[in-house]
Amino acid sequence: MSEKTGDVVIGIDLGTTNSLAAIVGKDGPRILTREDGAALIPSVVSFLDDGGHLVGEEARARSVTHPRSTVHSVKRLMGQHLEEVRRREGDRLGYEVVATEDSELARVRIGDKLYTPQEISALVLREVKRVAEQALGHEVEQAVITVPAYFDDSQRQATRDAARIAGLQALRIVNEPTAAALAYGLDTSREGTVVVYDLGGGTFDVSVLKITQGVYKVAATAGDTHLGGDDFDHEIMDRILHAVRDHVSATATIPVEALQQIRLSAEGLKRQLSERQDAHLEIDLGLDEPIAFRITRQEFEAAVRPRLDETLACCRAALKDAGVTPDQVDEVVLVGGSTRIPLVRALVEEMFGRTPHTELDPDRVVALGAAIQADVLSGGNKDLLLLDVIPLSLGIETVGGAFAKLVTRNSTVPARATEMFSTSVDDQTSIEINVFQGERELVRDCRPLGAFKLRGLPGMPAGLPRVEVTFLVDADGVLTVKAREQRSELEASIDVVPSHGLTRDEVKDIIRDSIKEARSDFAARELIELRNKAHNLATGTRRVLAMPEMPFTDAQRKDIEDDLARLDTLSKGEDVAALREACDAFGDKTQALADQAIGEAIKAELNREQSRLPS
Amino acid sequence: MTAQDTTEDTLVVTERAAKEFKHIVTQKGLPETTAMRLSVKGGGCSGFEYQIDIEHNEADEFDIESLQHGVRVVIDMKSEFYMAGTTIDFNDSLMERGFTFKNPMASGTCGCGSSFSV
Repeated sequence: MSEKTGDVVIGIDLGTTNSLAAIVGKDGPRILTREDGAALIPSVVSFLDDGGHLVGEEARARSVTHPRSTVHSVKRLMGQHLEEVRRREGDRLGYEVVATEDSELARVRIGDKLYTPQEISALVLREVKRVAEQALGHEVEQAVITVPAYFDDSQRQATRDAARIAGLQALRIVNEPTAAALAYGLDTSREGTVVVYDLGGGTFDVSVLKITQGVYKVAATAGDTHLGGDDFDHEIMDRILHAVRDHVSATATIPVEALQQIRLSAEGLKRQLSERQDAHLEIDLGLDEPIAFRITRQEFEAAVRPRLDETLACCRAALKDAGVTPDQVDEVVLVGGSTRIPLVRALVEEMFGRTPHTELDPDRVVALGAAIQADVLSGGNKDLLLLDVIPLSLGIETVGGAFAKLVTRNSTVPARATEMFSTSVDDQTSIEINVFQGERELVRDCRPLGAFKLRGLPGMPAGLPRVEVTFLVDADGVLTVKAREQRSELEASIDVVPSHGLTRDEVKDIIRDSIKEARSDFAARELIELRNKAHNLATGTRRVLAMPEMPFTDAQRKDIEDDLARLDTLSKGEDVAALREACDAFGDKTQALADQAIGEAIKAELNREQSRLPS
Repeated sequence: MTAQDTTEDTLVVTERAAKEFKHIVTQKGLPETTAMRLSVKGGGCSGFEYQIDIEHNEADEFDIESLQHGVRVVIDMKSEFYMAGTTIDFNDSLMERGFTFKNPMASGTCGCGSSFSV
C-alpha cells in the first residue's frame, strides 16, 4: 500500500464550503482529521491586521466580526471574470471583489492588498496539506484534487495553480461525481448504470456512469455551477432580512457584521429543518428587543422547491443524453451536504423509483473517492481503472489541408504519440504547426486548437528536414505539442487544453458526421495525397532534368514535359481515378528513365576518368 | 455502448493473427479481455495506412465489435467503411515478420501499412 513517505498521494475534496483530505491506508480509504478530530476544514480564509491570516474553523468564526477581511466561497471566483461574479453573487459575498487594469479576472481586495482566488484557495489547500501531514506524520507533496464536472478549462487550471502555490503537485483533477462513484464502487465490482446526484454547498452535478467489469465511464453529465446549499441559505437569509426590515426603518443599513451573523444563522436553521418540522431564531441588532424569526419545514421546502425542480430537470437531461430511462438506472448515489435535506431524498427517490445510496457520509464521499484515485496513481491499486478518455482525435494540418491524426479518439490520458514530418517546398526556413481536433479528413472540418512556428531553419531541399512532432496529453488533460527538426536541433512547442467547451452531444455529432461523410472524406483525402504525390514526382523529375550531365534526348525531354503538364492539369481537377492512374504510369516511366539516366551518368563519369588517365 | 455483432463477413482476423495478438497481450501483462483496435489513417505512401492498436477501453456506440478466435476485435464505423473485406493475417517468415492486411477491394496495398503502435 502507498502509506509511506515520499511518493504518497492524498485525495482532496476542495469544496465551496468545506475542504478535506483522505488517503487509502491498510484498512481502506479514510479521512485525515485534525488534531481535534474535525474532518471538514471550512474553505474560509480570514486576514489579520498584522499581516497574518487564519484558515478553516478559526477563520469562519471571524467571518461574523470581520466580514470584509474574511473570504468564503472563493471557489465561486476561480477563473471567473469580475462581471460574472458580480452578476451571480450580487453583494452577498461580504468581502470586496475587484478586477485590475490588465485583467478582467476577479480578485479579492483586503485592505490595500489584492489576492487572486488561486492564492486564497492555496491558503485553504495549505491548511489541508498541514492537516494531512500532521495526521500521517510525514510530508505530502502530491494530490488528486476534485472539481465540479462543469468546471471549464480556466477553472481547472486555476485549481492546479492553487495547488502549486500551496506546494502540492496536482497529479490529476478529477470530477467530483466520478470520485463519489469510485468511493461507492469499492466493495463490489458493480455492473450497470449509476446516477450520482451531487448537491453540495455551491454546485450541483448529476452524472450518469456506466460501469462494466469495474471500469467506470461517464456516459452523460449535467448540472449548474451555481446551485447548492448556499442558495438555500440565501432563501432563508432573504426571509430573515425581510423580518428584520419590518422592525427597522426602511432606510437603515444593516451592518455587515449583522449580515454575516444572519448568513450563519440561516445555515443553522436549514440544518435544523432536516431534523425537525420547524426552527426559530432571535436576532439581536441592539434594538429594544430581539427580533423573533420562525420558519417551518414546509415553508423552507416551498422556498427551495423551484431550485430542486431544476436539479430534477438536469437529471432528466442527463438521462436522455446517456440514452437511459429512470428505470434502467441500477444505483443512485447521493453526494453533498445538501442531500441531507429530506425533500431532496424524497424527490430523487420518486424520480428514479429506488432508494438512493446514503451509506457513506455525503460530505466525505468525494474525498474518499479522490483518495482511491490517488492510490491508483501512486501504484497501490492496479485493479481499478479510471477512464480519462480523449473525446476527439488530436493532430496537425499537413500539405493540402489534410488532417494528420496523432492521438486518436478514445485514448486514455496520459497519452503520447510521435510522428515524422517534412517540408514540401525547397528552402523553407519556417514550419507552421497547426493543431486541430476532430474526426474528419480535412482540417477545414475540424476544430482549431492552436498554432505555432518552428523558425530559423537552415534552407534545405523539400523532403530533407526531419521534423519530429510529439503530442503529449498529460493526466490533467493538458496537450503539449512539440516540433523538433532533427538536423538543426531546433525546437518549439505549445501547450493547449483541448476545449472542454464541447458538450457530449457536440462530440457525438462530430463523430456521427465523420461516419456520414466517410465516403466523400476518404475521396477528398486521397485526392490531396495524390496531388502531393504528383507534386513530389514533378519536383524530383525537374531536379533530374536540370542536371547538365543528364543525357536525355530532346524528344525524351518533351515527352516528360508533356507528362508533367498532364499531371499538373489532373492535379488541378477532381478526377481521383485519372490522377491515380497518371501518377502510377508516370512513376513507372520516370523510374525507367531514372535508371537510364543513372547508367548514362556512370558511363560518362567512367569515360572522364579514363580520359584523365596518363597515356 | 457496443456492438453490432455482425462483422463476420466484413473483417477477418486469421487464427495466426489472433494468436500473435494474444501473445503480445500476455507478454505485456494486460488483461485477457484487451481488444484489438483496427483503424485506417490518412497519410502513408499509398494515401492511407491500416493500423492495429491495443485497445484498453470499452468499445463505444460508434464502434463495431466482433469476437475472432478468442480476440475481441474493435473497429470504428468510419474505418470499417474503408476496411470492409480486409483480412488481417500475421506473417512469420525469415524475410518478413508482422501483421499484414489484404483488401481485395483496395486499389493498391502497401507494405508500410502495418504499423503497430501501443
